[in-house]
Amino acid sequence: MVLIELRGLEKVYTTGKLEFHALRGVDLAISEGEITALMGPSGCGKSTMLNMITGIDRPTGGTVTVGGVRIDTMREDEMATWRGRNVGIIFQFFQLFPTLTALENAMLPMDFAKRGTVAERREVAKRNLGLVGLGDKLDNLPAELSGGEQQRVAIARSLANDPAIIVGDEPTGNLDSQTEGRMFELLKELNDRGKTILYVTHSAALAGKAERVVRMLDGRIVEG
Amino acid sequence: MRDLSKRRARTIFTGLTVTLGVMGIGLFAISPLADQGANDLVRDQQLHNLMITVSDVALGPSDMQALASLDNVELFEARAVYYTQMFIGERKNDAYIVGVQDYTGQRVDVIRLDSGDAPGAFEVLTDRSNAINGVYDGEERDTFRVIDHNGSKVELRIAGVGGALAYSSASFAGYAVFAADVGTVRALGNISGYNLLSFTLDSTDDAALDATVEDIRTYLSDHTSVVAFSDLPDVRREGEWPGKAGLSNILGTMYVLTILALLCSVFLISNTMNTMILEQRREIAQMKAIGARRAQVFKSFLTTSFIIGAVGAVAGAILGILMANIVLDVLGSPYGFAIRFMVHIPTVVMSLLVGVGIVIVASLPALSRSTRVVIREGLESHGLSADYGSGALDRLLMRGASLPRSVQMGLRNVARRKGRSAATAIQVALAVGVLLGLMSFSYSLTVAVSDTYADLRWEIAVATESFGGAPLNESIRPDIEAIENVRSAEPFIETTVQLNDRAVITHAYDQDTTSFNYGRTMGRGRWFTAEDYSSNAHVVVLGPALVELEGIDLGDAVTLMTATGSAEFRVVGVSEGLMENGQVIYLPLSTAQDVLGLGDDVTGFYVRTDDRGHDAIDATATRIEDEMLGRGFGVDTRVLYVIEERNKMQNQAILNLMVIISLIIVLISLIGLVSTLTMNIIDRTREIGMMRCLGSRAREIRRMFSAEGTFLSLLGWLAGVPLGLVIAIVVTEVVSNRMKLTMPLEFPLGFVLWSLVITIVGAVLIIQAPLVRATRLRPGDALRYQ
Repeated sequence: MVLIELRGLEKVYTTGKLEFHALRGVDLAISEGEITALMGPSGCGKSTMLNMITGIDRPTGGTVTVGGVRIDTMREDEMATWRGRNVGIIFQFFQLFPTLTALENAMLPMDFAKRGTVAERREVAKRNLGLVGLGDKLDNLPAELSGGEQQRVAIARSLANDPAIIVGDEPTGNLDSQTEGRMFELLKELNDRGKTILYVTHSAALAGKAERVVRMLDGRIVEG
Repeated sequence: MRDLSKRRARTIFTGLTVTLGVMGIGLFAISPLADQGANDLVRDQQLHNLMITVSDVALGPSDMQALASLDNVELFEARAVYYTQMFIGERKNDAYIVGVQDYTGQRVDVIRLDSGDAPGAFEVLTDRSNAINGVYDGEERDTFRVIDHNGSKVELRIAGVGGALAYSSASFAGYAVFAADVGTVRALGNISGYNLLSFTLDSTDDAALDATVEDIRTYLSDHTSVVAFSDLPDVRREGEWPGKAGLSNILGTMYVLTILALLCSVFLISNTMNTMILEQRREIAQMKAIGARRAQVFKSFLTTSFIIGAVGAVAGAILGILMANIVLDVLGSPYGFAIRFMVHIPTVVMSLLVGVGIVIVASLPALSRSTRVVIREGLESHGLSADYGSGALDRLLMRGASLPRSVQMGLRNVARRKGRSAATAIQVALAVGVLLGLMSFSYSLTVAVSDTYADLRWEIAVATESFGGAPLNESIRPDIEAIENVRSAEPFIETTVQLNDRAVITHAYDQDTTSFNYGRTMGRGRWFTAEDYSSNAHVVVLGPALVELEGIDLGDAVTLMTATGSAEFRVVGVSEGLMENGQVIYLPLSTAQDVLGLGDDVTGFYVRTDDRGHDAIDATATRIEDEMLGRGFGVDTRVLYVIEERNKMQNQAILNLMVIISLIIVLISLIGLVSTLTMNIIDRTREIGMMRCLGSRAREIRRMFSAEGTFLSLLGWLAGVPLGLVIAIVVTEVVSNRMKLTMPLEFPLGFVLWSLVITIVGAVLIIQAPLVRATRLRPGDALRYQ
């Protein structure tokens, strides 16, 4: 069953007098439970496409349908709420909030979604941090964690609202190869539990571990 | 240079901050501009150095020529003046009419026209200060009635508005001042020649002045009917001008505010520049990464600072001078100042130097720190410290788990930029302090003035006519009390005595006076007893300012020089009241009569009325004057509600000005708050994008920054309350010292609570603008922000 569907997707960035076509009529369908890697050289449109799927950016043309819902027409707040509940995002530079502890960071999407009671949120966040092996560092601030640990907090945070889709924009790009391997195992485990996983990577090895690899060049899908 | 256009909003904002900061420096121009403007007016109007009042004297062309040719005399002009009373509605008010021989050929104390025409027969110019001082607000073509020498009412028409410094200050003292042609004044006052001789002199040193006065006296006694001057000569030395003392008292207070404004400005500019440089740490690292040396980085960023400083300083200097002119106009107009727009070059230069200088100096520490940062750290910098959580404050702010997450984040964010937050809180503290301090001072002054008037339990003071009235006697008391609407009349003596070279007003009250509530303000010692009255005891009660100024205390003996010689008195009490600004001596009425050799004579009666409506009081005052005139007593009446209203109006003008200046300081501080929050939003643009990615709505982002702003304001308020108390004490002390009065300080708790409400509401309102930017950011744009 198709979970993510892109049709004729266009994205043009305008800077001063210059126009940059990041996406040029992309069509893509990703099925539920799939684990997909997006590959391509820098500037080919991978991150832009990911941003379209998560509603972080809006397309200049075409449609984005996720779980049967057209998200490109949503208002900003509506989109934020939808995204918080349905998509977990992992960034290359972790992007944890420095004033919040690991536990508070992992609770944040639930706080925004007002999901359950505070105690219930804390339990879910604890469970997710336990899942990524950080059950003993709940009260640590990001500055007190290593890069790998910070990325695991980011993964735990992406699971907060139990979303159907988890996307990663070079999620292991800032980690050493050993930690990268462990991270992918985590993603695989999540996929095994039924999550649809989509990630951008420059690493052929990491892409090779995905069920499906989509290759992009100059704003178009050239393979997959 | 390109930096400026790259971050246009930030550049404009920083420039605006510098502009507002530099504008505050303009307040320093007020005093020199007042001097410059007054001296211009003195020259333009040929303000007299010597003004001599004489009885009606006929002066022919040869006399005029002779007086103008005396040694040391530069210019001479003779005028006829008439003190009388005019009707404002049913109320009588003192009026002063100056008669000019020829409006086109004025030589001394030149009366300038603001509008209308030079007055013809039975026409006048109303002085420009009459309306400003709340004395009389008649306009061109209006008519009013004055009393002529026969007691008849004569209608005069207003031909225009104008004035001269020499006469306008009488309006500040409550006289309605007018200028007419000499024929009109002669007809009104039954004057055949002149009674006011005005001179400008070549030299005003003591010896030259004395010699000139003597020459004039000799000439007049040798060649005219004048045997003596009617009053002591009025002398104006070089550099002096009417209202200078009053204005300098107010300006002394203004300087306290000016220094506070400058402090705020320096703080705000430093804070802003520091923030701006630190925010660009990443770009500095980029420059170094591609081979730029520290000196090159400095040069590049200092150029940016210089341009922002220069533009802000020029705009600030212009606004500062504009503000100084406006303030001067407000302060000077009661004294008859009609000053053209002036620029005080030293203040402009100072504004420019301070503006550019502070911007550059404020940039240096941050620039120095930023250029020392390791390139890698700099490149990874997003303007935020990575070591949050290491300090005690950080840990303290980690508490409060029951608060909504976005509020928690807002509170903790305060500790991420401790220096910037502290600077902002200090600015808010300055604003709160200034507001609270000045509100308390204003309140103290208002309470003190109101209390002083509340202690006076009379509606009308009937006194011997200022110019040549016959003395009043206690025996006419029943006659006054028989007048319609008069409930009671109580005799008093008001006179001036010398105490250690100081002219002091004495108030002598009747035994068991009901006209003055002395009990409320009686500080130490006692009031007068029945025995004091029966034995004409030489006892006095002193006002608080006299005790301080002359170093006299309870139980001391004081020697008072009166019109009949000197006499010794014992100080039996010290009042804390503000009557005569605390420079007053109270005496038993019988003692004053005895010492002054007055027998049963008094200088006036305090009258209480049955109907205390203003119209009824006005009508009663007129009735008393008419009745007394009919009995052969020329009397003047003073109506308490009019004096009180005028006094309050004059105080209010000063207080309004203080409010305006303090609001400027508050504005500067609020700009500081906006600056901090805007910079914080810019710093955390990527974080806002992240929050959006995690499902945050605009509401949560708004709540986070609001919590941060409110918390900062609250910290500022906490520091501002004690600061406000200090400012209130300092301003009250400065005003008390300069104006030689004693004013108890009021610091009401209600003001503290109000200041809290104003701070919080002000902060919430002021941060709405930067919040709009935060909530409108699209997550994609925010995440791409460098």
